[in-house]
Amino acid sequence: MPFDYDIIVVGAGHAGCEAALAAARLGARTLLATMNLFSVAQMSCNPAIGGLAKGHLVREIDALGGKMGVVADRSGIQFRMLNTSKGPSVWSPRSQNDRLLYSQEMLKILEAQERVDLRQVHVIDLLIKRGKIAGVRTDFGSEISSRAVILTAGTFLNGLMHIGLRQVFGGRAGEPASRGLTERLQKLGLEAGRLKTGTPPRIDGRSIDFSVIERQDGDPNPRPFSFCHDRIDILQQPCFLTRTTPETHDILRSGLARSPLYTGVIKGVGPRYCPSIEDKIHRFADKEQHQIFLEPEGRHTREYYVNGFATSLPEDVQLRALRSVPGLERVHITRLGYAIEYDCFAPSQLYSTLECKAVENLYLAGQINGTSGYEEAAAQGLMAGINAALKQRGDDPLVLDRSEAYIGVLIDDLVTKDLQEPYRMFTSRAEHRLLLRQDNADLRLTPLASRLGLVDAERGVYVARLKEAIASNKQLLETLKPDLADINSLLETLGSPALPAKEPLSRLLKRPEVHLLHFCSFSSHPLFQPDSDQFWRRVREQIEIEVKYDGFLSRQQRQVERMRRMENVRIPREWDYGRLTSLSSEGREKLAHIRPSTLGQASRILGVSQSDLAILMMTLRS
Amino acid sequence: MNSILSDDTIIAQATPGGFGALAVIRISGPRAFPVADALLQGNKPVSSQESHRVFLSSILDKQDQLVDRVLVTTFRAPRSYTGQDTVEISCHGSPYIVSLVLQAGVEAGARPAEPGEFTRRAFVNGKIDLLQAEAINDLIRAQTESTYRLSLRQTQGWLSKNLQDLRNELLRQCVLLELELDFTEEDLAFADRKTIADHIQKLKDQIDSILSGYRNGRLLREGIRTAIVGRPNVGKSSLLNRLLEHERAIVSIYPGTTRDILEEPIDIDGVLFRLIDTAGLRRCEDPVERIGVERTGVAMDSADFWLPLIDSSEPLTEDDLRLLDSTAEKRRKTLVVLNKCDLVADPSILPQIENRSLPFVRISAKTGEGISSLKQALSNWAPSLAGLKEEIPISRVRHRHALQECQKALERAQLSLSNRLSAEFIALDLRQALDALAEMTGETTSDDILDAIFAQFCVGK
Ligand SMILES: Nc1nc2c(ncn2[C@@H]2O[C@H](COP(=O)(O)OP(=O)(O)OP(=O)(O)O)[C@@H](O)[C@H]2O)c(=O)[nH]1
Ligand SMILES: [Mg+2]
Repeated sequence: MPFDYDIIVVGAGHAGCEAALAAARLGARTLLATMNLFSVAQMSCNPAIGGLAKGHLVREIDALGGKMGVVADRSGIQFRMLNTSKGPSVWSPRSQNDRLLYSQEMLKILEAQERVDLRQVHVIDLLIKRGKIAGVRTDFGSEISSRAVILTAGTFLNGLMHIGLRQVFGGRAGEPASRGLTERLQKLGLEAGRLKTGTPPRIDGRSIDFSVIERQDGDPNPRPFSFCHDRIDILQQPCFLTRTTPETHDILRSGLARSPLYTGVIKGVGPRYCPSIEDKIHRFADKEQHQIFLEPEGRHTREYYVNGFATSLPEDVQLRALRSVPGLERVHITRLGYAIEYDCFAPSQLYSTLECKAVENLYLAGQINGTSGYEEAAAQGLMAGINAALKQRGDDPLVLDRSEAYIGVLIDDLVTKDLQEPYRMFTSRAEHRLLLRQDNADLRLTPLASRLGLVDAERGVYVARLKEAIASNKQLLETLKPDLADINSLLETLGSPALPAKEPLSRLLKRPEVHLLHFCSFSSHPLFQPDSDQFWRRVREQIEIEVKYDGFLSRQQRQVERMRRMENVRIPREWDYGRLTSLSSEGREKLAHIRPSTLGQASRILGVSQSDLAILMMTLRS
Repeated sequence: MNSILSDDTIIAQATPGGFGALAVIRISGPRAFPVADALLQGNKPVSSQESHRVFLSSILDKQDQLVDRVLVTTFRAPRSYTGQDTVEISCHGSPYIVSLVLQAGVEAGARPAEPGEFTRRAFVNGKIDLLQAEAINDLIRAQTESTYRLSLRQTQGWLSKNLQDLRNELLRQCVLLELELDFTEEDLAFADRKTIADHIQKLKDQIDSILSGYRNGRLLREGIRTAIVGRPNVGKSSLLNRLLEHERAIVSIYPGTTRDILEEPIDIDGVLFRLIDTAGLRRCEDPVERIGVERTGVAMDSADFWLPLIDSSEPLTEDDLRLLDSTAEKRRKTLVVLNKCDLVADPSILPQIENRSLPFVRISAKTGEGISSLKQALSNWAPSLAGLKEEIPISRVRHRHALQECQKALERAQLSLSNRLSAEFIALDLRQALDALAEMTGETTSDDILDAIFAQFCVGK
């Protein structure tokens, strides 16, 4: 019996969209099923993409042919490169986005993608045949068959929203929750957990007194997320900054008795890095003020997002507290802040491909796996889509390792570690941080994507050319030794010590104050010319980074090589840990649960000791 | 972590640690022969030898002084215990010599082996079968799991406490740096570089002092300073002569014979002791003898170990009692020696010793009776005196290695700081310092850093 689809993606959020697009690009006939086709790729929380470490994820998604970066560029109304006072590895792009436009642009891309069907249906059950997934059932009873299903249900599974001590079922303000799937997954042997997150109120811009608050503009020359774009055309808009006052804190405190968080109504675990405002004033009582960013929701609306003010306090407290903030004295709330509890499934129940260990061909991606953030969701959706499609094609899976991409770190952390709270990406989670830069994401990943057919051939060729030019021009710099007098007069203008004898440019470039553009009058080679095109700007940037930070980069490279030796020892999926009686009981239990795919992954499991690893290693080699 | 793979070269004592007459040090791995070449000064390089050869060679220290004459056995892969190139060196079983050889091996590029690692390699290379391996699995597990804890405990709480303090302080500095990197957007005051630099300097000093003040190291190198003390004429000089087996010190029937301090090295079961003969302790008028007594006080203060000598044929005097009580006050390790057991013992002595629960031996310096049990007692106590136990020489080398790695990383951090590099570079240096400590403490970092950030700082929007 032919299947209706190769792959059904349930949920059209940031994970679902990337999953469907990637699967279709790899040739799978794909259905994207969502409860509401008007809210594809919704930004349920703040209208922004990227940020520290998340910006890296977006660049990597783009390098692998994902669309988050493209859509963020087309809908971005303010761009900033964060951390530019630091070294290149921690630079991170971030944008404010027009919420509506973001959704529309993603929908356009979905509609333009061959092999993707869109349907507004409410999936309430999964079809299982012989232990494998066989499709989905909708609330009206119809069945749609498929070889694989990717669940990207976000916060919708049994979503429960809290404002004060009142609760409403729903997956997001104004949208119903999804019921039934949790129970189905539990029956299939998956263990569900419950998490909590929150969002701040939105306010009417017409009620803000902009004259007393600080304006914040983006970068004058916005840098796009996507490697395919070289400029941003949309008119840029400012954000605004204000701060809470002691009075605000008093008002918030007065509402704690009616807080669902502080009265124990909310059972789900919330993220510590994304605390509600009541949490902040409670836990850091001596802090006199907290920053509040007012971020525009779009170009054609006056609504603002009150960043830094996530709350689930009752309506009257929210309003009074906001009105005690400078600039918001007469504020009008358009949407209340709320907390939401939702079901999630600890991702240790998944393989590194995001396929469920309990149910073949069922994949879970995004917030359902206990992550927070659009970028983390999109990254997982992309990888789940890729792997589901590769499996249907009979190809090897694509699992990125921790030294290749933040995406690799993300998924490895998810499937290996115990989930304590919603997971968010941080640069400090990446032990090979200096190598995983946003500026080289395509150099790292696009060759791979091009081999699999995730990006068009042109992009693959471009990156190959780029890599070649970087290597050959780096060599060129080692041979170029300009005239001593010329160099010394240049160095003098730069306040850099003079040279006693001729030196190759590669050596000179190691000086922090010396840049390739300084040699523009020495040679007409595009490498040295300020007006050279994007291609040569990239070559220049990479060479400068590689030369200037050579010592550190090669140190990290050595670490990677050491790590690889463990990573290269593969463990078969069906490995029988019960047989290894010498393992510690905790080690055996954890190994049998996680079922690591490499010795490296096994070494990162909490509770697996050195000796457990040694024993595992011994038996693997036998 | 890399110990799981067997592609590097490892070194360790293959015989049980401690103070046996002979110790076998095994080097195994692809670079076993080059490492042995770097260690040994023989007529022919080890690497030119065929498999299964036994020959004599020498180990010299850094000053080219002969440390030991050794017997070397070569095993070429796959005909060895581990299946890899292996060199075995049998040397004298002194922990000092063993630790010298191990240290030199590490400097030549070998890694201190984990417990059970030779056996693991033997299995991986098919030298023993699964049944045998299953049987030793438990052994390996028992060993490896206890290793971290055990070796930390064995080197006496202070090292483990020091390490924990070091790690916490390092972690604190990492937290400050990571905060700048992952939470730039926050309304936080970031630590200034001067503070971080000061802390790193402090950490370095601390490690320096751990490394240099390595009590064990000093004791093993220089010998355990053992002071023979007691009132005049109890037979201190006689005991020294007896132990040295020659008439080194002047012995006479007149009290107050010894006026100056005598110090003589002696090897007891492979452990070096420095015996110190002192002037008899008593209040006296003679100015020369008084200087002698003062020097005795100084010598006693610098000694690691006291041998209070009592003439067991006479009742204890006030001077005797003062000495016995001061051992307790100064918390000095003590073995009371009851001399002249060839004479009739005074019955009042024993209860007074036992009262103070002091360990004692009975000897006669004159006849030699009891000397072997005194030596036995000294050699039994040597490990605890030097803070040593079985296998400690190995973990000692490992500890030192790890601390040195940590130190190097901190030096790189200082360089990065003085070059005004941004936080992620300094963070890498500090992470490597932490990783080095983790070799001993076995702890992870990145989650700990984030936990500390969330606990201490108001971050997140
Ligand atoms: N019977 C007997 N006599 C001993 C013994 N040991 C030492 N003597 C005698 O005790 C006297 C003092 O011996 P020394 O070794 O000079 O005593 P000392 O403690 O070094 O004395 P000062 O140097 O004066 O403090 C000598 O006559 C020894 O022969 C022993 O075990 N038995
Ligand atoms: Mg004497």
